[in-house]
This record gives sequence, structure tokens and C-alpha cells, in this order.
Amino acid sequence: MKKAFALALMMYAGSAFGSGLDSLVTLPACSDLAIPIAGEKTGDCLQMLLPGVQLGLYTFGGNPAGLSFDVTRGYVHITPSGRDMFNDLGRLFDPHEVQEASFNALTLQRIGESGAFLGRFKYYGMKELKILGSLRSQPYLGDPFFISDTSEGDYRYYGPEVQFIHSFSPVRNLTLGLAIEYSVSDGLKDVYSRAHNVVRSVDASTGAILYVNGCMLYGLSFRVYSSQERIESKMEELLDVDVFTYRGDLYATRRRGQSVEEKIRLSGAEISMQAANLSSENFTLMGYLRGNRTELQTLIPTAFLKESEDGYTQFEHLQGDVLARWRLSHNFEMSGNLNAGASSSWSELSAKKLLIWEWSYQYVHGTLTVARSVSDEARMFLQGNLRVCAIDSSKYIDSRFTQLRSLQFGAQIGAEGTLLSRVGVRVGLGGGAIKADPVVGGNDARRFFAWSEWQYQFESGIRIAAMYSYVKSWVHAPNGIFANSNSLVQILVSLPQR
Amino acid sequence: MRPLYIGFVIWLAVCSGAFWGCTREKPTQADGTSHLVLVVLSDTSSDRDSTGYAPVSGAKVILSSEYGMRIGYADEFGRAEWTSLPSSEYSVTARAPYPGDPTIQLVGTLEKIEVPPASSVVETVLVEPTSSTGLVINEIYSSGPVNNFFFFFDQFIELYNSSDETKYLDGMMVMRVSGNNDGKGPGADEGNDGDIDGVTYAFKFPGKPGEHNYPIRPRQFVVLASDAVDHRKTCPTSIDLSHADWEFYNQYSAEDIDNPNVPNLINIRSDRTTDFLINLVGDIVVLSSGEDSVWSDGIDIRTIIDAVEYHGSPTARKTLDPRVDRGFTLSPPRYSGMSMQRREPGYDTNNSTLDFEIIPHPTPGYQ
Repeated sequence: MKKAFALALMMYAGSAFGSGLDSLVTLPACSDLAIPIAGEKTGDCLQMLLPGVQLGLYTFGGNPAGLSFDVTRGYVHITPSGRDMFNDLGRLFDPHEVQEASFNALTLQRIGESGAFLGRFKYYGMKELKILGSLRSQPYLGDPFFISDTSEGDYRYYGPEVQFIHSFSPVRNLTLGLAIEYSVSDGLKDVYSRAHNVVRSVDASTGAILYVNGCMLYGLSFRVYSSQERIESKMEELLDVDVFTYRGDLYATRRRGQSVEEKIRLSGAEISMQAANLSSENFTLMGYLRGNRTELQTLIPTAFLKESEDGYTQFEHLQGDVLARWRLSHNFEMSGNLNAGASSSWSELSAKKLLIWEWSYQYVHGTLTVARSVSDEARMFLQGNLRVCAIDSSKYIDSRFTQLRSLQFGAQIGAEGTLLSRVGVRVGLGGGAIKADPVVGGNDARRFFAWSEWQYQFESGIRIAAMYSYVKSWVHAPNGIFANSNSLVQILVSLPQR
Repeated sequence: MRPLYIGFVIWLAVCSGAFWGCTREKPTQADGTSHLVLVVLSDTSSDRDSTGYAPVSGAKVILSSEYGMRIGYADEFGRAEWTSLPSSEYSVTARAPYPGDPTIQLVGTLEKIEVPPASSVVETVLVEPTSSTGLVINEIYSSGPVNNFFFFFDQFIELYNSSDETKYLDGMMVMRVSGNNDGKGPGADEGNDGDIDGVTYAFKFPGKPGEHNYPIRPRQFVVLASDAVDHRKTCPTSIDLSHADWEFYNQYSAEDIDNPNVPNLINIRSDRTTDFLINLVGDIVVLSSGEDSVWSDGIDIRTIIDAVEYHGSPTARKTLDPRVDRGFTLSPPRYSGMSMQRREPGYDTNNSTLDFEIIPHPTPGYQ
């Protein structure tokens, strides 16, 4: 049941319930609502790739050509961070705890009058503790195929990630952009069957934005992405590898040998259209429509350089998002966001051409934020959000059929201000509730979170910031109440570029 | 300017074509929607008041496929039913006690029942009274204990007398069959002359067939150890076989261990100079009466009391003659410390696939 509900919740960033949960902890500092700190309107936020530009064609609409519009100044950011997450109530193959440390370096530069360049490098190390059996780095992608051994153990992952975006205007009123991202992740299970995972991902997108009548922007972008995970378990200390390949939750075939291998190949394409109205300084409207299709294959080697497809899953997703912001007076602002999407997926057993799982997921999510300046150096905000979703799942092979209608709401309050002219502070707290949690299968989930961010700006313009956020959630499961927690620590060193 | 706009349009067309282009069709049939009904009947035509076939209520029905095993029980009409079954090829065995005689079992099997998707399949399993000789190979421990220095010398074979009468081991032979690889394979009837070929090791109990010096009492387990010593002294994760009932001893080997307190089975192949050791994950073990001891031309199938074939992969090629064993059992991983044992002591339908299971630890003497 739990896995059935997992659906593709983690599949499409920003599309499924996972993002809904994340939206509860959206930091106000990530938005342009942030007030000037230390004499400069920075709006810098530790959790965002491009600080202070949430209402941007790249950041919001995902069009790489929009980088030129989003960036107003250049800088270099160095961001080490740490994360610790406990899962008292997780799904079968979820880790009990996740510890992660990463190092990010990002440079953003203006190129000429209308160009921009972004380069990013990240190196991360992650430890997933007490994983029961699962050998896939991401077992819950929305497909019914799992590979597992018989031992509970820890996984260690590490690897680099690089990204480049270039945006430029070849002619007046037309901007083009190109983005490419590549990552490699190396994982190793620390007990039998000592599975070794190598995940390679590449993501490339290109886009164009047309500037019409001095107030309207029309954008079009296209993205392709591909990743492959290779899992190999080898005989250890003379002990053969014993691995189960699940098709659904109940049925598995057994494979054994001195070496057992499997590949999970994911590939897809996405097309997106964006539009923005910038006619007024006090009112901005932006929206996009995005559709993508993704294929996931589970491949098993059958002979040297030959492999057969054991399972196949197809995902389709359509999403629309509208974001508006009003500046009602010099000290009062309001922002509204409406996001709706629909996903569907089906999976087949390739050799027999039989359907084993299909599901669909629809949601509507709305967020309303108001911010008011209480003085020249202090400001408060209030945010509320509401989400409704519907899930239909038919897992034929397990004979499990599920329909779920869920309501989720949340609210948070916070403030930001400047102390002693060089110290900036942001704090916030909030909570939320979910009627039926589709991820872990519990009901009446509650969530509490708190965060704070401290900044110090030197005279030279160098800024150092530290952020800590803590999220705790309680889930009413059939066998009791379980609590999960998530702690995040980030430090940011910002070097301004002239 | 114009080429740029044209290029943009072409680019858009290519992207859209790539996005909406090749896609796979969703299957029209779903898995997990099949229905299987097995009717277990026994032939009662020899009974005076019988009309022919009678349902066997309460029969235990074991369904096996690529997804493992499922067990069900027949209702009062002899029907065992599975709904929402995944499409696969199934093998079935049904078993029930014979009324009035605990030494006889009603046993029936069906092989390779094809269950297509979204179908309803009805099959009849005819069970027949099966009286085994009562002497079976009950457990084979071949995998070796958990270790990292290739230790597997604690192997043993366990025999069991499931009958109500005392059996005698005099002159019986225990063989490993792994040869004949150039022909039909180990244990196959090469030349169709009624014997199995490929004997590589043959050890014999003392005495001659028909003599009554080495009894095995009703419901008694007998352990035949490769080496009857406490192997824990060498490998802490191993087992103590110093109290085994019998020990394989190769008198042609200068190195084989011999526990003087445990009687020996001795080697009858002088060209073999190592102990009786079987493959860790794939082999054939045969127990015969010893009436045909000329191993070189094959062992007469009529003299075989029991035989078990085991392999590490469910897709391995079965080679042992089906008159001796209709299936093979899946072995545990090498050096796992696991063992293969009959589901119940003496449970024998002449199909090791269905009769045996993997147990987490060896149980010499059914401890």
C-alpha cells in the first residue's frame, strides 16, 4: 500500500506531493519580498540556486534563456551545507536516517549588456543508514520494479555535479539560452551483498525568449534528460550474491551468482512555454505550461554486451503555474501562486507485454503571501497554502486498487530585519496538516518547522550567512504515531563581482 | 535576421517531433488477473461402493513458478482455487494422507500448466496412493559454513526412515553423480538402457544387500558425515559432526580423516583418492540398494532408493532421469551456512523441486 501511494511522488520535481511538502517550508527570504539588508537589496537566500530571483523566467519557468533577465549582478557563492534526516516512519525501502554534507561553488556573471553565464560545481557525500534490502539509489521513482538483497545496511554515496548555463541575445528582443548539467554518483553498500551503484545523469535544455512591445515576454524551452544507474553485487568472502527482482510488492524472481547486475535507465523530454507581463512596476504576472514524458527501463544482462528489458514504465506529466505579485503600497506587498498538474504512468512486464501498474495523479496548489514593512529595517510576512490532490492507482499484479483524495494546508509567519547596520536576521515558523499522507500511507499528518538565518556583511561587500532549519512531522499510522525530522545547516560566503 | 527565425522554427519543429514522436503502446492486457482452479481427485474405482473418482478434501496443494511457491488446501469438493494470479508457468503437487494407513500418501503432480493473462484455467490433479520404500535422503548440507578460507568439509547427508518397519543399510551405496558431461548430462539414461550414468564417487555401507546388520529404525534419522569431527574447532561458524552415525572414509587417501568411533562408508572407486565431497551449489546425490555396484556402466534405476538433484539457479538444466527425480531443488548460496531439507521428514513426491526447501542452518539428525 505504501509503495502504491508513493507513485511518482519523487519523479517530477515540482509536480508531485513531495513538492507540496516542500512548499510548506519555502523560505520568505527566497523571494523578492525580502527587504534590503545592510544597505543593499540582495534578497540572497541560502536555499535557492539564484538568490532573489524567484520571479524570474529561468528560476520560475525553467527557460535557460531567462538567465539574462534574472541576473542583475555577478557574484561568487561558496556554500558548504549539512543535512540530517530521521525517518521513524518510512516506506519499506526508505533509509532510517540520512546524513549528507556537500560543498557548492557557484559563479554568476553578466556578459556584456544582455548576456549571462552561470557555472556551478557541487561535491557531495551522503550516508543512508539502515536500508532494508533495496539496492537502488532511488527505489521510489513511481515504477513497480525493485531490486533487493536480504541484508539491512548502510549506503555511502559521493560524487560531483557540474552545471553551465549561458544566455545571450543575438538580436534585439530575442534571447537564447543553453544549459547543461552532468553528475556522477558512486554508491557502495557496506554489508553483503556490497552492491556498487554508479549513477550518471545528463540534463540539457535550450530555450528562447521573445520580448514584445516592451512589456510582454514569450518563452519556449525544450529539455532532454537521461540517467543510468548500474547496480552490481559481487560475491563476497565466497558467499554467492542472492538478489530478488520485484515486480510489484508481492512477486519477485530470484537471481543468484558470483555477480548479479542490473541497470535502470531513465530518459525523457520536456517542452515548456512561458509568458510574463512586466507592464507595471507594481504588478507582475508570470506563467508557464510544461509537459514531459519519461521512460524508465529495468535491464538485466543476459550475455556479454547483451541485456534484456525486464520492465518498462512510462510517465507523462502536464503542469501549469501562474505567479502574480502586487505592490499595493510602499510598505505592503502580496504574492499569489496557483499551480495545477496531472501525471499518469503505466508499467509493463516487457517479456510478456502485460500491464502491471497504472496510476494517475492530479493536484491543485495555491499559495498566498503578504508582507508588510513595520519600519525601515524590519518586515513581517504571513503565508498560507492549500493543496488538494487525487490519486488513482491500479496495481494489477498485486491486485491492489487504491483511490485517495487528500487535502493539505499550511501556514507560516516570519520576520526579517537588520541589526547594528551590518547584521541581517530572518526567522520564521509554521505548521501544516495533511489529511492523508500519500507518501508513507499515514493519516492526519502534522508538520511543524522553524528556521533562522543570520548574515553579516563586511565593508568590502563580502557577506557571510548561516542558516538552520528544522522540520518535524508526525504521522498517524495504523500502528501508532511516528515522527520524522529533518535538520539542515548551510553556510554561505558571498563574494561580489564587479 | 530571417535565417535566425527560420532556424528557430526548425528547432521548435524538431523538438516537438522528438517529444511527441516515438512512444510505446500501453499493453491491453493486465497481469495478476488470472484464475486457477485445481480439482484434486483420487481414483476410488477399486472400492465396492465407489462411482469412480472422489474429491480429496483437505489436500495440500503446492503451486510453484518463477515467483516461488504458494500453498493452498482443497475444500470439501477437492477444489483449491487461486484468483488474481500472475501469468506464468506453474507446476503443481497435491498431497493428502491415505485414509487408514499413515505410511501411504496420496500424491499427484502436474507439470508446466500455462496460465495465460486474464484467463480462467481449470485442471484436475489425480492423486494416487504412494508408498515410498520409507528410506529417503532427508537433508543435504553442501554449501559450507560462513567463512573466507574455502572451508566446506562439514558437508553431510541425512537419511530418514519414514516407514513403520526397520530398514537395513547393509551394502547400500551413496553416490555423487556429476560425470557424463559429454553425453546427456549427469544422471541421464545414456543409451536408454535403464540406468543412470555419470557416477563420479561411490561409497558403500559395510555388508551386502539383504543382510541385516546395520538397521535404521522407524522414524530414525541417520547422519552421514564427510568427516565426523567437530568442525567448529577449524571454523567457528561450522557444526559438530563428531556424533554422526556414519562417516565417509576413502581408504585410498592418505589424508582423509577417520574418526575411529564412527563407522565408515568406504570408497569403491580406487581411482578416486579424495573424500566424498559434493559440489556446493549443484550436484546429484543418489542412494541405491547396492545390488548394482558396477558404476562404470551406469547404476540400474531399479536399484535406486532415492536421488536428489540440486542447482544454484532455477534456470539450470535438469539432467537426472525423471524416473528418479522429476525436478531439482534450489540450493542455498555457497558458504552461506544454509542447508536443503525436505519440507516434512520423509515428504517425498519424487520431485525435489516441491519436496525440498532451504533452511537457514543445517540440522544433522533433525535437531
